[in-house]
Amino acid sequence: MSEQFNQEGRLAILLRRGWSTALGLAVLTLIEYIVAAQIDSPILWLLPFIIFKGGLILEVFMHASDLRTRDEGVH
Amino acid sequence: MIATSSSSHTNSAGVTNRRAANRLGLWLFLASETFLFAAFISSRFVVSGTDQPEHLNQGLALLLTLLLLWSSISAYRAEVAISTDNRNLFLRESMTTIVLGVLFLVGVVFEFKEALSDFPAGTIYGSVFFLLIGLHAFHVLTGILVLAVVWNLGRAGHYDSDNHWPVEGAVKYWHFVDLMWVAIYPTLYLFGGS
Repeated sequence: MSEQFNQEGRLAILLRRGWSTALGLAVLTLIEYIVAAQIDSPILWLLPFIIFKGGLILEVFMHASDLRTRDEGVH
Repeated sequence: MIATSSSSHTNSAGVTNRRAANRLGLWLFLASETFLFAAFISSRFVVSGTDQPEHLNQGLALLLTLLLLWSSISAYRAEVAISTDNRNLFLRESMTTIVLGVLFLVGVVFEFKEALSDFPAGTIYGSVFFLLIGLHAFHVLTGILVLAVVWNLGRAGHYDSDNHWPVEGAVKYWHFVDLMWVAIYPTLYLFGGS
């Protein structure tokens, strides 16, 4: 019973984390689109967006830090 | 008793080491794929600078980006679900990811159709555009196939919280495809500016 509760609690926390990241990525994508539409040569303005979005995907979705810690999968 | 406990400990260590080796192998594979994409992305700047044609379908490209982002969250949910033994959620979310991937490919076909009339593959920008989008679409297609295999095995009762490496691998690959799009989208559609 307690184990099931733990699993459900963990699931809820991880899902919330995923949704927040996805929302952040969506907002960054829309800002990126608006910046590109407003500025003539936006390459330097867009680079931080690309790096930050890439970092979010690597860290939250792909668990890149597992390579350092050798943790087991989703955490 | 001591022998059994020692054997179980050895097996557990073996599984952990194998999973760590699998994971490292996948990351090395993804690193090699990154070099491939980097070569194609850099070719865009070498052959056409940051110039881009006026007739790019910006709305469709933004829609495709959001579709892929949505598929990333559903893939993440599928992995989280199986890691907490929630099979129904895993099956639902992995199928959602597959459907969104197929929709992405349908969008790419529309994009190709429009682009072919505006800047054929024989033009400088066209050659880079079709190469990059085509390379990425091929990766989306392979990702869909891998996810379909994983979904089918999951439906048959494979995988649980202790044993779900194939799910983790397939989902990581899917996120990698999304990660590459994060670079390809501005490279082809946004760097030319207003």
